[in-house]
Amino acid sequence: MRKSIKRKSQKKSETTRNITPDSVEFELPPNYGDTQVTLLVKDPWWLYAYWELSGSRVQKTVLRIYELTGGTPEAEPLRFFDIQVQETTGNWFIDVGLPDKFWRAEIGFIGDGGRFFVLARSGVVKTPRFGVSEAVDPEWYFSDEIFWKIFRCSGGMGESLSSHEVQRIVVQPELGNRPGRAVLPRRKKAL
Amino acid sequence: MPKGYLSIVLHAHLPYIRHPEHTRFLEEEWFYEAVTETYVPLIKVFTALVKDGIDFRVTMSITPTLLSMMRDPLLQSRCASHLDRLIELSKAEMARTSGDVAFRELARMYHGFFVEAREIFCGRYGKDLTQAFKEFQDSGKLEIMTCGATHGYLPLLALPREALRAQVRVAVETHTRILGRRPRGIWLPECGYAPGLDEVLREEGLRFFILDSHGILFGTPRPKYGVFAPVYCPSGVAAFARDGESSKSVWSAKEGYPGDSWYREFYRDIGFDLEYDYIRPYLNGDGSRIGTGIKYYRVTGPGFHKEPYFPERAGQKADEHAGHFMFNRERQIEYLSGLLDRPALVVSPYDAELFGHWWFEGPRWLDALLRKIDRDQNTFKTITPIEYLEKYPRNQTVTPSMSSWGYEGYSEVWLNQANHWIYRHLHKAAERMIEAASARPTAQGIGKRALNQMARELLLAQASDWAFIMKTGTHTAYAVRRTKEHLGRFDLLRSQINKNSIDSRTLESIESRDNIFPDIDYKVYASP
Repeated sequence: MRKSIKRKSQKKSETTRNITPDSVEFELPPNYGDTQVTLLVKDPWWLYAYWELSGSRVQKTVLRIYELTGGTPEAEPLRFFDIQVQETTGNWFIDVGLPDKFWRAEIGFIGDGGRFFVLARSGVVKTPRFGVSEAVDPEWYFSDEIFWKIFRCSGGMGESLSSHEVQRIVVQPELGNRPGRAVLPRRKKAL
Repeated sequence: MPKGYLSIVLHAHLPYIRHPEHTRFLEEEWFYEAVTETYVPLIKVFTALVKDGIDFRVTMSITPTLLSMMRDPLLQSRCASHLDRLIELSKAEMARTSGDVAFRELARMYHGFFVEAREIFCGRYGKDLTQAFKEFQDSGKLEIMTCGATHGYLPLLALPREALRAQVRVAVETHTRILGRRPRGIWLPECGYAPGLDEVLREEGLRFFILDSHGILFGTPRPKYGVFAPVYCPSGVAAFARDGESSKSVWSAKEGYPGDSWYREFYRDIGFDLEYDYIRPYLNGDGSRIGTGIKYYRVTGPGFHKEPYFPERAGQKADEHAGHFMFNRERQIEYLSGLLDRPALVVSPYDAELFGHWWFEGPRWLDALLRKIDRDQNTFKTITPIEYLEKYPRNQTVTPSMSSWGYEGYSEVWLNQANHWIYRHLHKAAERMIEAASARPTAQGIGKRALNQMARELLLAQASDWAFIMKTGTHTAYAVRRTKEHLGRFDLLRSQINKNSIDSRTLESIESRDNIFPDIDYKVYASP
């Protein structure tokens, strides 16, 4: 294991015992000697993976991204795509482009015969839905007409409309029910 | 019977910044500025409203890091010195501007403002502002929520689960210790939510949290009332959604109230404007020019030309804007009452530091708004989320969607090219903390202290502020340093524990430096 704390000016005679929080500049280790891959969700369209592979460098390292049938451990892969990567310790922002889907990553290499050998596998993540759910709870139900009016007042048409404007718009039928086509309300901090 | 309700939510947060090793430290001043310009002015507003018998409700989140800073003796005494320096500077300014009609009244105004702040901070509350907020909490006017222990952005820290639980449990414990009551709600840091996170909130006894609009709008199944009523997550914890329309009128840089030409201009400060030798004693240790808090100009217009600030006119504007905000909520709630089959709830959350610090007239606006709502209309009332739940305990069950209130609504601000490198290390440290805690369930003495300190270091490293600052590009070096320092101290302690050679001097030094959460118990990280 690499030592994660180094003195800025190395003095070999000094031991950890003499290091105080003031006297050192901390440097993070480049890796932890693990073989692993972690998958995080950035937004409805993007994932982020980081990985490290211990031991000797393998040829043709591949980050394989699977879309899964669900979020349970038994979920099956629906399809996958590969990203050729170089580093044994690396990261990648992955444009999956699909909200509301389940994903898993594997890091491994392609053998001579073209076969994929898995070295590490991530947990399952889900990109969030981007739009209104089609599922309706009958106990908590408004007609589509009322729901979409409420949706617009909720900021579902973007940030530029006030309730007066929404009131005007909702009487225009061509701007009526368009389930699933929502504009994300954005908040740009004034600070 | 009102047709609807308004919940004003102010999120008060600062990262834990305390540098005993320096006499003055740039980033530490954020706290003193916020005390002077935001927290004391808000306390003045609440005090006056209570005194005048105004019926109002406000909800605040005061983060555990901020509560801890408010209680820290070193920061308390430094804050008093900060106020002393400002009083001295304002005296110098009164003398300097005595022949200047436009500015001398302003110098006098600032002098009065700082003297009063000092009287409230030191005199009335013995330098401990948590007492003030506790008073308003106990009187039932103010609901105080907790937050993540160090404002960790939970959707990206949720690996492993114990890391998430520690952020929540340590927060609840700190809140309870300082404010004398368990929090009922939590402001998820940056409104960062991912499905399942609410399970942990329920386990820690929390009953509600607040999301950005799309967190509820894009939930499953579709929410009957949009953002205008809370929903229950599958865990039973209630989620309230931010109302975009009312938020926009305050937040929006373009149309928001704070940009009005009569309001005080934030960026024209005498710390930058006046002759260096004159202002030097009031600047920070390294002598670089910084804002002092004394600002003589108004927004005026988009260009560089600025007119002198005219407090009376700005005050009138704040009153007008309060009237405008109330009028719009009346119209909004009347319109909604025609659609909904129950009274609508409008939730309007803002960063507390917007009020007073950035938007100087913000506290006056809030004061005027709450008075007007109480006296000038009957369409709606102010309410806290918990009161709403008590009135309307039956709510739809919806699984909210992953979301945050950051730019673009998801995790981009805290996960991008500028800051992604931290997660590898934060996750590893959390994993190691869990290992260490689980392997030593009954540590005592110095071993226990070292484990507790490891937990503090991990939590401090997890603060979302560091990733945020790395992204925004100012103070970046400081944010990088803090991330590395806490992870470094964590690693140092871990290696000493593993070698069974804990150095008490090193430990004491780290404990006195990162002294947050004095009663933390490392076993919060032990796997069940």
